[in-house]
Amino acid sequence: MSWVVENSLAWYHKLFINILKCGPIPRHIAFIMDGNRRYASKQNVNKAVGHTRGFDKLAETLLWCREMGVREVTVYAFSIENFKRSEEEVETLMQLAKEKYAKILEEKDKLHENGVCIRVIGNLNLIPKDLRKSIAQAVLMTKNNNKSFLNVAFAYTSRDEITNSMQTIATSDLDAEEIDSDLISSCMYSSESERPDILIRSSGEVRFSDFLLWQIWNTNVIFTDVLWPDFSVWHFFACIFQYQRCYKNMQLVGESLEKEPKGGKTMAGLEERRLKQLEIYAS
Amino acid sequence: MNGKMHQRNFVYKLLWHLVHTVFTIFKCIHDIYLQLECKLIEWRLGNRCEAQILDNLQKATAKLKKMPKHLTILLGTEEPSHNDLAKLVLWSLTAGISFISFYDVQGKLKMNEEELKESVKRILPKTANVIWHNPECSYKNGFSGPKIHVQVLTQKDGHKALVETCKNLSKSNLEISIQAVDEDLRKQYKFPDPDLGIYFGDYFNLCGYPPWQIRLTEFLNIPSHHNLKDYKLINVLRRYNKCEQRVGK
Repeated sequence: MSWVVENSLAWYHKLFINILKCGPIPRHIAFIMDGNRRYASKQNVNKAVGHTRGFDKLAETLLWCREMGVREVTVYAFSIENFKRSEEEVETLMQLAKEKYAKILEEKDKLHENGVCIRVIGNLNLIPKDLRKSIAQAVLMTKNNNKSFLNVAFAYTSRDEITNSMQTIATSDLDAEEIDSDLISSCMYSSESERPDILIRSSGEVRFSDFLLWQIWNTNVIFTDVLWPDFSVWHFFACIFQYQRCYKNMQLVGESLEKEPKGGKTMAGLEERRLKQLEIYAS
Repeated sequence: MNGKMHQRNFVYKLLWHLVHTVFTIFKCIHDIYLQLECKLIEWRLGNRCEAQILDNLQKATAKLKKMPKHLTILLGTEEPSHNDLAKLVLWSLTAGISFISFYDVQGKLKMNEEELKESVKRILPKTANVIWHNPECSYKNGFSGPKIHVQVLTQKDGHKALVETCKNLSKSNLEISIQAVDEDLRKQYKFPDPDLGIYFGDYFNLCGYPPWQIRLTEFLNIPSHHNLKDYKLINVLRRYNKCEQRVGK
């Protein structure tokens, strides 16, 4: 299945979208797409099928987000901890990822037409060479698109991201006293992202498993019991609706947290360095 | 054409308000139902004295397979109620939890920490030891009898603590690794990473809670901490026992 799916929404879905659009709409939603394996065992199919259904659901969700006007989506595709799974399953997941990234290159026109920019956040050093090459190619190919953004967290953990950001700062010639939280944010893998407004974790787990811990300081966290492949457009509407219910509260929290003036510091030249690294990986 | 679009948008807006209003009404009814349910449970339990409550709590929690070592409480945007929070300290001590922390984004709890200490002192038995942690005083050894460590966290323990760690590590010649960050942060946070977090309110927002420490924390909800009841804590601890950690696998 493809990254950009045909619009399969019925008129009553569209009606709901138009109604929800009258309220505040999140700019950025993060997903922990949990439950593919449980779905597979429930349906009596093998794990690989579960993961494929999970991907199809992602493509569908991206469509819903575009229709709803959500500009940015981040998904937890593969954690550094996932390397600990059985060799066979890691191999399957890498294979699936390879296929999907190859598909991005095939679907160039559709992605450009929809203005989809695909970014990767994570420790690329840990990814097998051939997969890393396809990832780098996909990122470079879509880097100028700016209508919607998809961040794929691959070989990612939040602790690794924070530590990596600190390493970047320590190796620069900045004075230690100049360090502030804006600077740390600007050196993250996800430096170009906005703060997520909603984080959704499916399949009833109630923890973050090292995902975006630094970024979700003022985010509406939604733990839902549904398994990821079963996540429907109605679940999606319910999440948006919940966000609208707590929108005012989030603004209050934002106010009590942002009392101090923002430093707005960034690391000069980091973007160019990353781009160069990607070009090396892609070649 | 334009007029038609205006008309349509007006209808959408109207429906949006309608949907939210209907939801508000249903939520009110649901809240009343929940309150009645609580009343019914309390009526069934009858009038219990403090000793009975503690005894019951001890029995119920002794049956559980795992108990969080560190329980952290997220107040969300609720006004802190010192008496209820003090009850939580007492019940956690009874259930065998060794560390409890409170996070309040507004900083009110930190400002009135002395009052909280007083409330805790009032209800805790004389033999119990409560060890308060704050940046100025750290843990002293040599207590006998049951003990619990308590600390109040604020926004300063969040991003700002990580900024301090970043400064410390940049100045030192240490290699920056996950472990180095963890060790440096431990100097400020002191407690082990929380195993269980209880958040209050209808919606879950971390409100700037220290990010580094909650990698594997399970988060469960109690709608409000005002007029908190022991069976609500028992329920949460039971749900916590159903959580299974696979750590990536």
